[in-house]
Amino acid sequence: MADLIGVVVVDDHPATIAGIDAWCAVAEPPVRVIDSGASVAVAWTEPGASADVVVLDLQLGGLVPAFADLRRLVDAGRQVVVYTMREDRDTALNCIDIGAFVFLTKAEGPVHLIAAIRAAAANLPYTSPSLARAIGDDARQGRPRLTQREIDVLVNWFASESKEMVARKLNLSVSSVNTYINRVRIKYANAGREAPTKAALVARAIQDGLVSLDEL
Amino acid sequence: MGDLWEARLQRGLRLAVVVIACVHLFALSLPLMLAAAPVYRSLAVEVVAFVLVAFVLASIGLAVWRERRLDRWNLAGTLVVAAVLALVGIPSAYLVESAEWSFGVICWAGLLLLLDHGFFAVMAFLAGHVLFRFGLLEVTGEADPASVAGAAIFTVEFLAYLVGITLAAALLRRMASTVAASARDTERLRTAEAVAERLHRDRQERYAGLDTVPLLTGLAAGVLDPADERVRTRCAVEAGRMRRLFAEQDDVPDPLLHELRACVDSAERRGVTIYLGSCGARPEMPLGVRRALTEPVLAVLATARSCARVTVIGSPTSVTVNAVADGASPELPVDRKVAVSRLEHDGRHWVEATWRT
Repeated sequence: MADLIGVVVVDDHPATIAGIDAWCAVAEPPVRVIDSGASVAVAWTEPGASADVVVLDLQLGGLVPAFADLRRLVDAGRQVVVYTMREDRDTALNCIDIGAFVFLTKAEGPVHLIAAIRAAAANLPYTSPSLARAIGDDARQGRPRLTQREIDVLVNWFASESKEMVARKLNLSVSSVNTYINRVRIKYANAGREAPTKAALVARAIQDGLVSLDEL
Repeated sequence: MGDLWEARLQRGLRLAVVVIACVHLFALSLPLMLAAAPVYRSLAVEVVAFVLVAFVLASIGLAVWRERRLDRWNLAGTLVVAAVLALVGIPSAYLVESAEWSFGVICWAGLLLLLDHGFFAVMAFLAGHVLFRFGLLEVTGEADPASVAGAAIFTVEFLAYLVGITLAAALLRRMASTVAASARDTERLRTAEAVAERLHRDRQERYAGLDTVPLLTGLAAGVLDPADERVRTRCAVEAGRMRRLFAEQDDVPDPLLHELRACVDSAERRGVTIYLGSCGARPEMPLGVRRALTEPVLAVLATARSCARVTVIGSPTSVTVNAVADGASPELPVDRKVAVSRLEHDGRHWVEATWRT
């Protein structure tokens, strides 16, 4: 049991916490929910402080999204999966800029959430369809430059939510689809604000040969 | 249209009467007056009356020619003064002789002033004028009975002309109003026809592609069996099309997404979980293109069992609508406006419709 991934869930809706609890329990191998609560304090105090991954809702009671809490967690080196009702592009890109590991919307179910938690625990990139949409729609100045192929893969990933289908449609292997998606994620991790988690993500990608230093 | 006609004809009639009256004044009355100059009580009074009549006729002629309003009542007053002066200036013995130059022209001028007041106004004026003249004769009682009889015959003959002209004017007015009414009727009919034709075309355009009536007829007649999966799919597609049709009437910033939401609605009511999202800015599309793009979505959603994903991908030159769903294989419509491709994997169907500018 010692190598089970431990998560702390910060969400102000008990139903969401209960749902995540249930999904984690039936995951194979299971994911352990160490603590949960409506305030980000549960992630800073034991037992939540030693969790591998923080699942963070952006809308905690107030009207203002919890970007400041996200920034403090990231600066403390925590792996954060943002799990939110907000679907807009700017929120997604903002979370990634701050250094969230994964951006997920609540419309995206257990398949994505469990996969995202595992990826975060292993310092591996994970790009949800909603994040793929935000990146595909990114029109900001100074955004990372993507190749046409990368954009095609991202957009089709958003459209179909199935890497197998994207692979068949674009005549690629599933691992190539993953590679394209992950490379985009690394380009975004490498851009903008410095954060220890982003550095870890890029370092791991270079180590795994996903990208080379001169590509970044 | 009829009013214009009437105005033109009335003006022609009036100008003709002005010409007749002027000829009467200068070619008939003036020589008579000059020839009878010695018999008048005062030639100056007659000349003043003549000038006044000439002035009235000139004013009427000018007003008719320039299509201005007549200063009717001032002119009528002037005319009455002229008539009284002319008659009073003649010794009563000469009232029915040729020295009485004014009767005819005064009648013409009065006719011109009152023509558009209707038949009875003219008749009243003429009757008044005749009564005044013969009344004067009666009061002074110095006229030769034979001359009086001659004058009476002449008066009746002369009045017949005037009555004829007055009747013609009234007839003209009635004809013109008939023409105007019939023109209005024709115009109204033509407008109604154009409106009906436009409505019909609009309706046909709007309902193009709807298969609802045959479907309902088939169900009512028992030819189509609601237990048949294909019939239910057709019903689901029609329900979606109807909702889309209603959504097409709404004024919204993003019509395509609004119409897709309408398409998705009926499937959601069946319990299918649907994600609807879009990515990227899109060019504007005409209604026909939007329908062609949403048709495959309707087909996919009609057979969707538990979950579906509908997405719109925009680029500056193209719009792609994707629908991914589980369930039976959908029957896709063919529309040349968009390119449709499909892919099946693991029980899920992915249909993609693309339109390029």
